[in-house]
Amino acid sequence: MNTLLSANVPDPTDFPPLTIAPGLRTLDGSLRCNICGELFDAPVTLNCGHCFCSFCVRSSLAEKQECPACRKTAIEGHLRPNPVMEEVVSAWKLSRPYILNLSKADSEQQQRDATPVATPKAKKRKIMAETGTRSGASTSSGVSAPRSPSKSKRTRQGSEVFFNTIPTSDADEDEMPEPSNASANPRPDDLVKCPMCTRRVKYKSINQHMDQGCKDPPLESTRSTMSDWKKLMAGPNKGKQKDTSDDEDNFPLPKASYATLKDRKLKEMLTEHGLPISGDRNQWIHRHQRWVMIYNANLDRSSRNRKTKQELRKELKKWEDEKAKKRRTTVEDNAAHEKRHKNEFAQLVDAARPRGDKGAPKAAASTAKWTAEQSKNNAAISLSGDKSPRAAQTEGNHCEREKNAIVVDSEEEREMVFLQRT
Amino acid sequence: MASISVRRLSKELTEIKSEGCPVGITLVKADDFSTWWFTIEVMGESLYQGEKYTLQFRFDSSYPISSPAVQFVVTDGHTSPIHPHVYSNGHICASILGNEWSPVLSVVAVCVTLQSMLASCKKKERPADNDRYVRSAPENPKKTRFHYDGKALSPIPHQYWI
Repeated sequence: MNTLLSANVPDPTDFPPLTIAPGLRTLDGSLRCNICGELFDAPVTLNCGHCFCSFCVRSSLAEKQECPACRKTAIEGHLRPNPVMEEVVSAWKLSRPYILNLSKADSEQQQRDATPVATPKAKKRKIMAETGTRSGASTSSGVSAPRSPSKSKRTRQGSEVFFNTIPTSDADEDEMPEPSNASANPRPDDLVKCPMCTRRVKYKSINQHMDQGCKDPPLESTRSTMSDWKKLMAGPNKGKQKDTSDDEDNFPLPKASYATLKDRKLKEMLTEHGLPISGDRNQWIHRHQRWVMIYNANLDRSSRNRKTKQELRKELKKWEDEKAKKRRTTVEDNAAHEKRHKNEFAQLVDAARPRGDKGAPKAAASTAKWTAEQSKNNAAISLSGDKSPRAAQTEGNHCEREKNAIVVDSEEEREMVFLQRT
Repeated sequence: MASISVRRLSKELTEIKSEGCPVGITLVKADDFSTWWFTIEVMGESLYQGEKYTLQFRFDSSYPISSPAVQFVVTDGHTSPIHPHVYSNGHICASILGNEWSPVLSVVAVCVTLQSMLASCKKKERPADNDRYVRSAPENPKKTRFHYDGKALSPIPHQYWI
């Protein structure tokens, strides 16, 4: 059982429970799709407000047109991308390992704190480690070990002072990343972020810049002129390329009513997207359905997170390969297989019978003629009942085949195999 | 990357391991991602007090989009509870296992629903058509098209087609 879990599948329980880290598990859980359990990929919102991965909810709606969570009626047309959630998820993906590490370090620290330490030397190291790893939050709440009062007080005071300075400068920090100047006023030539247009402007000219409605050219450092020119020169060309591809790529593919489509049209629809036309019609339909789903779900990603068509094709191929692997079951023991599916076989025989009756007289007539000719040349072949030589011959063929293992792809095919054999 | 169904199931298993199952439900075995066994027991006052039943879940590769095949185990000394929606071969007529399945439901959610289905039972009896059904039932309960009457949680399985 444990071997199953060794696969690295992150989930909310990676975080400590509510009692230790309130909200963390819930936070991680609420950024996950309730269908696949992964962090939202191309999150979309339904009319009722519930949010899922685009692909997950599309596959669910294909089965049943309702919100998986609240069962309100929903159709694919109701899906709206949720870019804010996408932003949140990508930020969470970045910060998740960091926060996991912090919480791990924190719990380790608490364990160490809980165990009493014998030597004063170790105590000192512990305190230093504490100030280093924890960023000031809840300093040594669980420390109960005896220590020399004067020394520990000094260290702790020191750490508090150090950490207290940070929040005060925190507000400035966003605007001025230079840590050395963080608390002092910027010099006239320093670049500061304009609070209105967020461009970097010289401190001495910031007021003028804002008075003009942020219209003057941004005074970035001189080295940027070169890159600016490059951008300008390359601009139109690049933009043109992007425009043409975007135009056709931004529309979702419509659903097709496959039953009314001719084989040729279906093939065209596949080749149009560079998809293979191997397999039978049924496979084409499934392939195209899946492609439409993958393709449209991809459009619900914000443009920078989108995958290329090539990647999507690979995804589709992987899915097909996996499906083919699962479907193919080899019948090893024919006798047992026959026994196990006796009922189904019997039903199929019954279903096939009426057709057989109609064809029987004709077949009998032809065999009769054939045997008549045969009997002229050779010794008479006695016909017992309705077993014609031809029937016997075909039967023989089937016996031959029975020796080999029969590969059965699906239930329909199993039915087919049986029909052939009867 | 493992398939969606395997990843989703491993998440569910991790959650069961770390947070435990609800009262009265225990995981018996989950050696792979195709078959899991649970025992369920109705807590509090009910017709099934003190009785323990074993549930079998079978998953295919399209889980959680398609429902798992759920039934009571009736081999090796296990029995199915006597209930108007449970056939003697262990098949259960519950809409959430059929057309009311939703991919946001989980294994534990199904267990809890079945537990409450037993708990709310007024009279211990087999479905009226038990014998007829059991004689011709398919091996996999998902292949039976049950007819559900009433609300989602009160199916009356008196008509079905095979």
